[in-house]
Amino acid sequence: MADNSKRDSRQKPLAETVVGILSAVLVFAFVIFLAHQAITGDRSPPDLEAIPETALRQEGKTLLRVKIVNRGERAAADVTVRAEMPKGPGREIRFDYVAAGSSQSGAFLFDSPDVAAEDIRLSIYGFVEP
Amino acid sequence: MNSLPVDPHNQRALRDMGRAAAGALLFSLPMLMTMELWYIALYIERWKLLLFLFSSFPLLILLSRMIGFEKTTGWSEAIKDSMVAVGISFSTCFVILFLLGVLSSDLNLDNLTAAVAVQLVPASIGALLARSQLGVEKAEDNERPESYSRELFLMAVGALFLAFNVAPTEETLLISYKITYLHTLAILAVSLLIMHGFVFSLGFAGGRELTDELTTPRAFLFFTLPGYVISALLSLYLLWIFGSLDGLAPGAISKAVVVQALPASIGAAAARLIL
Repeated sequence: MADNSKRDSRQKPLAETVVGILSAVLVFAFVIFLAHQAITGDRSPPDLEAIPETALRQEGKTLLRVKIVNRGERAAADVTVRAEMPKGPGREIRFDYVAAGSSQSGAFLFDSPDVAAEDIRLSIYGFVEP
Repeated sequence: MNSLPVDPHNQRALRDMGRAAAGALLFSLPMLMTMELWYIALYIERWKLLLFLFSSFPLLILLSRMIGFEKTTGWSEAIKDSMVAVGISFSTCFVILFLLGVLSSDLNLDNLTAAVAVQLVPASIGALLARSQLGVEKAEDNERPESYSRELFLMAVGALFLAFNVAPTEETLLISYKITYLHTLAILAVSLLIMHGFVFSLGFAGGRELTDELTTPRAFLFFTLPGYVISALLSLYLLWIFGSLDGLAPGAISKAVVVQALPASIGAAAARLIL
């Protein structure tokens, strides 16, 4: 019993020390990462590109998946993307947000079953800063 | 006419279950009335929802063992009670979501179940905390031996609960998009200060007095920093579960985690005071 209490009193500070030091290292590393980003990032405006991905046939329609990539260092909001077809009306979709250095996916739905991804011209109309 | 004798054991069990339902309602109502959580149920990947539920069960069992809506004497009883809490929470959430018109015949069974399941964890935490926070035995029950692991665990419960309130909302991500990295660093520093102040400096009931053994640097190293790490990791986990991090770069993820960890860390500190 006495041995157990001695062992407990030795183990408890060790556990606290290990957890405390590990936590300090993690928080410190996180702070260094954020500080590095603060010095090097957050400068360039959103740099957006719309990339067509796959075209899926769905009950006489075509679902064209697109990805919006933001290579800038700031986020973009209300990103409006338009898809123009050689024939027929175009389509527009809006992405709420595309974070800096990140991507978001979405899809256009066309009434025709034979729309090919390479026939579609995608253009980004604009964005607002969140 | 003689009235039927009431078995005191059954009466107590009914009262405990009533308290558990009240706790589930009290803790989950803000989330039951949050639009984003209704929609998350429609699109959350089912394997992530299952993972979230199964990863929460050990936490609920531990919480039942430590606090629970009725006194438990062993692990099997704690497991049984935590399952009862989940069942009561499921019924409570189902009834409230039905009354609010969220659950309707327009939803298929999969989405109906998901809409309730996504609310289960905070509601079950509420059900299990019912005795300690709503019961009359509070004072005597709080006389529990303090241990380091218990304190870390309670911080995790508080962080998970408050983080869950905020994680599904669009505002978390919107704030992370609006702020710069300097803001992010400042939020991190403020989170640490608030956590430390809550427990060690502001003299709240349940707080800790600094002593010659527990100096400010030691308290910061052994309690505040681990508490923040727990809060940040749980924030990361919840944001990932809800799909908020899909497609985000590491920098954007770090901002979202720091924003989310602000309420989580306050929840962690408050849990140490309250529980």
